[in-house]
Amino acid sequence: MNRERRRRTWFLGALVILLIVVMVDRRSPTALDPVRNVLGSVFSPTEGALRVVTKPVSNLWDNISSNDLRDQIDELELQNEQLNEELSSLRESVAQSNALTHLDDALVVSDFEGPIARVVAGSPSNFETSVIIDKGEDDGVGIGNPVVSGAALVGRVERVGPNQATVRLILDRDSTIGFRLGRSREAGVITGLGSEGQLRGELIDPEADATLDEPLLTRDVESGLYPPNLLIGTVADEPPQPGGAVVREFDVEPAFDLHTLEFVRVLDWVPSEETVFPPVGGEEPLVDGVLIR
Amino acid sequence: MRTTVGLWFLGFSAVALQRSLVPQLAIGGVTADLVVASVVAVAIALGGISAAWYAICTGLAFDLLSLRPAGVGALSLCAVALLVLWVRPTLRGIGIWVVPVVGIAGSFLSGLFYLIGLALVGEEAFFSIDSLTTLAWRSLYDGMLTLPVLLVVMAVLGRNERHVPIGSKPL
Repeated sequence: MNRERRRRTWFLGALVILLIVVMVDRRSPTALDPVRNVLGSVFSPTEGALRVVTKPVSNLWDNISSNDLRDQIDELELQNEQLNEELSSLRESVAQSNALTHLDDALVVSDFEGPIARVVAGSPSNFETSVIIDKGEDDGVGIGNPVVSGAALVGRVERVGPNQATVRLILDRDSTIGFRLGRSREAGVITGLGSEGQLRGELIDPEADATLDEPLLTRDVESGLYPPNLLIGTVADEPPQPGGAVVREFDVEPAFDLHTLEFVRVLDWVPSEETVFPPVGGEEPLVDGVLIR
Repeated sequence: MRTTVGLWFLGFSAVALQRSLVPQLAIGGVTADLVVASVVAVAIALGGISAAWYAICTGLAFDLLSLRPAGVGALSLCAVALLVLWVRPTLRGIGIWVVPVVGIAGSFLSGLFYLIGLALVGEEAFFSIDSLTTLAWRSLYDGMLTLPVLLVVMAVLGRNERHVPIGSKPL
């Protein structure tokens, strides 16, 4: 009887500790990092080995789930061609807008150093949109490094182990980025919509407008989470007319395809020390490291 | 001793597989949750408070490795383990088909508790129709996984049909 009571007391104690963990993690998201690092270094080698061992299973699954590989390859080749064309035109737009705003010295993706990594796993849960890459601390990857695919912003490194890192994609519901439109230079905020593979944009100026297919670039914000002028995506539908809606949101097509994401580049860039990392779902609305009131 | 070592092995394997193999086996963008399936299976196979401890430890490890707030998943898994322990005596003699049903219900409830937990800590954006739809599909996926996972759990923990109330014959 006593033993049973003691076990129950221990269990209730564990539940209380768990509640404290939830609160501590909310208040200070980095407080549990030492524990996370230890766990990461314990699990990381096993996960790597499991990925290698189970590769035939995942390859087989890929083959089963793809109806017609030849069609898929043809479609991808076509998409690749179209994307290359879009990329050239977007680069041109970026160059034009840089010139217009006297930002000739603005950095572009190719100006950054950084390792190329392979995406080895998708989100382990349905409630986060992230990928795991096969490069980690040993390759110079650090927390906060932006991750790109070609010229397109993919996300940022959130957790890093010796040989792998977790990248929170810009599609994640907790991802909020300040943007500037490529042509009109109007500023706004983008939030992820989860694994639906879409983004939602909102312009700060209620009178501003965005045109279809207009590129969206990361904003030049002091102490921002991303370097300026990285391509986020394009306007997928025009926002409602000014005065026509209280919230003038619009869909944004990300510049990368989550389903075909295989290789990414981790940029050797970290936010400045003054950058305030947004508390996940915290009370203060932070956009790209900047407090919005 | 065997039970303790077995539970550590099962928990470690479930988390490692969930982070490596399982995301690659997603169907229609929905990823199964091997951790939930293992918690339900351990609760059915083992009974007792050890199953709830298993849920807490495995859930916390997975939470700490993920990008969502730590502890919320562990609490939701613990709640599901306790619910399964509560209904466990009534499973006796029903038949093996009850295992996937419990798996579906357990997975849906754990997801629901998780979404409610996220909303309580300020991430209410997750509580949406889309999330509930994803959850429903995930539950079906997890339900299918629960029976094979239960067989693995029984083998690892050295449990047989005398201990586990899933046979069609009354024990």
